[in-house]
Amino acid sequence: MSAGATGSPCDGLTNKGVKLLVLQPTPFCNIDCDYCYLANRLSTKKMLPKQAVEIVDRLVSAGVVGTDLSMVWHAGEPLTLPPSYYREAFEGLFARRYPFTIRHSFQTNAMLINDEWCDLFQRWNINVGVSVDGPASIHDAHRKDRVGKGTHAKVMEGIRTLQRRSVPFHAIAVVTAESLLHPEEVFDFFLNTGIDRLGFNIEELEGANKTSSVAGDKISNVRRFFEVMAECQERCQHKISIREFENARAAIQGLRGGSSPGSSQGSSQDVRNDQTESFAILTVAWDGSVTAFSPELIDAKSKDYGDFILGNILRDSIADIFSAPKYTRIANAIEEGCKRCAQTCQYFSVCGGGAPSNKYFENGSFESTETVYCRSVVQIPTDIMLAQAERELGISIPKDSPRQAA
Amino acid sequence: MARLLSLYERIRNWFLVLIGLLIGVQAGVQPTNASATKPTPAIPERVAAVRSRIQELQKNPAVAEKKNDKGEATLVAQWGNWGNWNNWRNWGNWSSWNNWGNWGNY
Repeated sequence: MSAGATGSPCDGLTNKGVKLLVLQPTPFCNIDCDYCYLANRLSTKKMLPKQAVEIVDRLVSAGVVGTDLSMVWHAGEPLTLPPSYYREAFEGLFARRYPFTIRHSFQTNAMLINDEWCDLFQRWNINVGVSVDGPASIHDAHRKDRVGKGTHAKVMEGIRTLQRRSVPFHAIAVVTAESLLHPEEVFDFFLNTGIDRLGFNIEELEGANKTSSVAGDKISNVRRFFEVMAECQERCQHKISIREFENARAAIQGLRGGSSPGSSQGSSQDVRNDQTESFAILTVAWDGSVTAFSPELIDAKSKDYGDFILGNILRDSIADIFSAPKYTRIANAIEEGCKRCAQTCQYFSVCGGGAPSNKYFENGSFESTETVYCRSVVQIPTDIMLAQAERELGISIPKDSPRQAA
Repeated sequence: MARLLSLYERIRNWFLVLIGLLIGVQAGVQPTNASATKPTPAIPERVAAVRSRIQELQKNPAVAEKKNDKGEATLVAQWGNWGNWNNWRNWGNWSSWNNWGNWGNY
């Protein structure tokens, strides 16, 4: 099922199966963020709980699940369905006694969190992520309800409920032009709120989101933003872990690598990139439509491909889905883009080939290379962590060596 | 005639200045173009140096206790060992979401 077998670091030869299954229980979202990439978030369609079990059964039958499986309930607000929905799905999956561990995750706007949800999170050891952009002035500029009112106050109620019930959670903040101008306020908000694991999603030009407030010359502000984050992190003795820095550190150390038998390029320490591997990530919509690679592709339209739906996992066999001409065409284009990254980008060994959806939506082709995502999420954090590593590990850099790429 | 010569000299001088400026601008642009087409292999080399240093430290834990010029414990001493980051990253639920969280705006 690999797109190719050229022995390059981009051909997914070492992929050990589906690592991440993103399920869309419903496309519906109870709020209306203006940067959202999902087009159908007013639809109240839903996947049946037993269909979630059927999907995993089909993957298992096809022998494409590795030793662990992360299931993320997302691509709409998962908490708009009741806790009983998930109880039924989790119990159904648990009853199967699969020979691998399933870890469930929710990414939620937190507005509907109450004690009943906390009971479910704790009973099933759910990994909870809350989407909150920072203080109200920044958050409410984009994360609004359907009548245009800010959602921050309600989100904070949800966060306080999680904290009162001692449910561990992380936060993901979308970084917009407003956040870039107030990095310290953003950091202090998370510190004072008691959030200790934090990821930053730089606003991306994707799917239904046709413009980004963070593009062009604002990339220098992104660098400054992350530099301030690193300074704040040191100042508070690393009370907050920042995902982009964690990823950069791990990649620099070679901890996100994989052995690549027959590989003629790169080393086994070079990072493996799930988004460029053949079927490491599968995203399934409420009706069973499935896509691979970047999850954002599930809802997107394209003049080249029509859409990125590769088949229906509830109707088609896994083998048919991954041998269809559309899959091969997309996979080959992604592989070509990855190879070009390997040939031209200094950061390839710590990146593994970028994010296909960003390449497509930003550059118009999977075969392209650098994007705003690359610069902001990979290159800048790598520059900052590399400089920190050199400083702390006593490695001297010749003065004529550039400290960072443009 | 003298006026005509003077005018000719003025025009010639301006022309020479213009040519000079154009050559100067072109010379200033060339190195930038050259560096853009020939990427400096700085990042791979620097990453390799860090990995090599970590391996060196793992073989010799005594070095990990080192302090910097100001007498402060180095990162290795502060956080145990760079090589142990893998364990450090796995605390709590971190690693399971770390792989998937950085796509999309939500």
